[in-house]
Amino acid sequence: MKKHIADGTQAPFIMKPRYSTSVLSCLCLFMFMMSFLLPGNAYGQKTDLDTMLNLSLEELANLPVTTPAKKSQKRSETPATVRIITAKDIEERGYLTLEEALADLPGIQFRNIVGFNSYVFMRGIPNQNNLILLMVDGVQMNELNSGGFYGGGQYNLANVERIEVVYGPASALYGTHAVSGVINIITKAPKDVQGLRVSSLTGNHKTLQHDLIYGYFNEKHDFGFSLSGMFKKSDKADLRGAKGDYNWSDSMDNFEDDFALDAKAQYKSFTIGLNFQDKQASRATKEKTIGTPLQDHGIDWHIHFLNAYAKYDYEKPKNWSLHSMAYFRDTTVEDDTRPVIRWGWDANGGYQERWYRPNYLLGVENRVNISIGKKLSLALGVVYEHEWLSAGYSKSRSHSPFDNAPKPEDPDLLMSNLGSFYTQLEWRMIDSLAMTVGARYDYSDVYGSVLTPRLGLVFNKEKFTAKLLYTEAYRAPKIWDFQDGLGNPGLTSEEMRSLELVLGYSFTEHWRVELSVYRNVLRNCITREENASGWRWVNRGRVNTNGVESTIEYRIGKWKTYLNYTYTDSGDENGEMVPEISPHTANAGVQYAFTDHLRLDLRGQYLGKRRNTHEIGFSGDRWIDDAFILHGTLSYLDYHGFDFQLAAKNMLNEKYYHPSDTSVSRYRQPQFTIMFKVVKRFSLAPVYAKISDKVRKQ
Amino acid sequence: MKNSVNRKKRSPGALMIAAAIVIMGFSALAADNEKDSRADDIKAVFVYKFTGYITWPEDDDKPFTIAILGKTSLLEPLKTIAEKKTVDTRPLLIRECSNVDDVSGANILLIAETMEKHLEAILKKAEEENILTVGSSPGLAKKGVAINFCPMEDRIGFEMNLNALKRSGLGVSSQLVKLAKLVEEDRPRDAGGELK
Repeated sequence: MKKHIADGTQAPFIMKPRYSTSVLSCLCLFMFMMSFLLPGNAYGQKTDLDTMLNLSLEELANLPVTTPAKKSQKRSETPATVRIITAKDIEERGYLTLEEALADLPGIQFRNIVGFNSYVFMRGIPNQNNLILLMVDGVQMNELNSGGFYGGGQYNLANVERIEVVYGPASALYGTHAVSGVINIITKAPKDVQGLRVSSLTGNHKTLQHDLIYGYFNEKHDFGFSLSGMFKKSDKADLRGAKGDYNWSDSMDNFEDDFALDAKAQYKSFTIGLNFQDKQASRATKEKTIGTPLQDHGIDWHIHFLNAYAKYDYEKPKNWSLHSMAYFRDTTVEDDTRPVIRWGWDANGGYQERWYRPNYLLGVENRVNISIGKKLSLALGVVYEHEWLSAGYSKSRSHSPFDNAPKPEDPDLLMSNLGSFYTQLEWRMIDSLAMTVGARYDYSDVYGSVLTPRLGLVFNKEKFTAKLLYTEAYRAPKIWDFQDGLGNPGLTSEEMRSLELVLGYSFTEHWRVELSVYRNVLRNCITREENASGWRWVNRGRVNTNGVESTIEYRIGKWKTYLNYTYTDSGDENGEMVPEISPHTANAGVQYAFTDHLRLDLRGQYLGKRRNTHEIGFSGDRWIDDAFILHGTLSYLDYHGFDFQLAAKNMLNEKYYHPSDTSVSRYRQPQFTIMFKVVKRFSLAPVYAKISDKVRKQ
Repeated sequence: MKNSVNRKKRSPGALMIAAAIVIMGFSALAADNEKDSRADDIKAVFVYKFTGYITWPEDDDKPFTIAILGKTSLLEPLKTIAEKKTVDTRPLLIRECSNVDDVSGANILLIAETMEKHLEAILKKAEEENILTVGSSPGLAKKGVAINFCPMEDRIGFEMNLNALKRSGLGVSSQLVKLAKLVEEDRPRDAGGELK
């Protein structure tokens, strides 16, 4: 692996360009001609206004989308299916983890190992969280060595303004990993905070959370900053002995301690920010320990994520804007991580291990958004990234299961470079119809060059929206893929092609339905292969997914309701059903505001029957039964600056499972959990006024 | 441990990309300086929507009038809305005004940036004639304008000065208040409404 990266000319996994230069030339020529042949004509504002006039005030003030087109756009006009989780949703529903927030959306399933990670499957493809690109404030959060993001409790949801979830391939803008979709977490701006908010939560399974947000914004000087911190602890579920299907012993531990810190400072068009997450969790649920020499208490996984960035947004002229960003990323499995304690046949044969894996990335991105006349808008971007990645885990081992292993040595860091260029042209052909053409060209000295195109037609007429989308995407294997298990240096990229039709109709301003129908084909899949010696990742076969996602939203007065149903038919190259994916899932929710202060929110999730990757020893078959899970939240808001919330997860105490792709038979999900939260908001305006008065008098 | 990057000949495709960037960049810079029409549309629709959330003095027999004082790019979208919409059963009228006296009889007054120097006279007029004042410049709500559009990240939001609404004798729905960022005036007014 080291050799491959250190000397790109010998790398066996370099991808050949999938499109000839003549295609590139044609694309450029097309864009070039468009800029002259299609100058601004009569302004087609009728449709926009008609659509806007049918929106409620809240919808009008609703958040525009920045993710799918890398520019602000209304959701109905973006050439993608986008669903949004707002800060209000997070607060009212009492979400504690990112997966809880995603679980109420259509098209998303999980393999929650109720341990140091949780895996998110969008649109019918199981993966190690490396087919989804996760960003916080526009900077990637996927772990650098494996390319997979981490699920769990380390996300500081109290400081989230919204979560934009883009369904379907998006490599044409974001490059590798944006295969099943993109999740962009936008944190609160100083302007959104202004004041101090503190919150404390406690619940069963030793759950505890404290968070704090402080923001200051001076409108006169267009300057502000915000600071937010979160500390969270939880055992999440009781999986000991019989409760966890005898996968683990009665003494197993399953803790998770999370710490997060967000800081943001903004002066006019310049913003600097920092997002830090530290997660230390038990690694017991990674494998079955009963009947093995592995110990399931006292072992852990300790990882941190640090993103630091500086952004400059120049938007003064009316017809173009410039967005520049420089960022530094650090995703490190810390050197106190103790993932293995193993017992030998006698006490001297066992050992403890410590692992260490630092990874760093430095990147810059520049993007120009240009309006050419009235009908054309163009985004052009260039990206350069330089990575320093550990050649593998640096491991140390003690001579006994009772003794700590010494600190691991620093691993070799391998360097690689990525240069990318992307462009997206939106042409408003007639008032109600817009076409988007885009492509991204990536050149990596690890995996060579890749060009991914995208084409979208978006039609908006009064209350009706239709989108026809063709997109491609890829995921390049990372060092972890090459080395995991027995290792396989010959891996090449997975490639996705997708065709999607989206239809939406607003019957009234309160009542909207949406339907997405898609066909995705993932070729050259990177799948886990087991043999007598162990496992490794190999390129094998493909996954064909036909899916339908339907949503109905009804909001009027004191009522807010939603219902969604997802059909997912994922099959392999032989037509066999893909394990871990259920064909049928559904969600329904209702919220009622009894008064301005008192609210009740009930949400139900139906998970259809799905196949496990292997026979489940405990039940003797390969099926994970279907389940209905009910969650509820009762909130009393704004009582002398206090909010009180009682949240009950899995209210019916349903015994349900997620699939497993390891030696664990299946993963029991958390039992009934109840939590109580108190929030206090402090408006600091009077304090500032007093200080200001004192300064003035002096 | 240094990494050697594959060096390739520059392809015609790469040159075309570079040429396209340069040429399109220049053509964009040369393009006419168009207004940010989407933001204007949103603001115009907001202004129209406000009509449903304010308690107006009863005056059913007259058209509902939105006066625009000074030059603003909201004029066109508001005219388009007026062609399609009514306020309850009242026709919607958009009136362009060049001085404060022309706004008499209006229900909503949209204040263009160029007219902010006349703010004191405008506010006095609005109080006397129960007119809802709407602005779109930083700090206007603090200066006494009832509703003022302000950018909130990449959204259009608005500030609201409840005292200004009260002085104009207008009631406001709590639904509208919930969406607004409430601001207080920089300088308190006395009972006569004069700025101190």
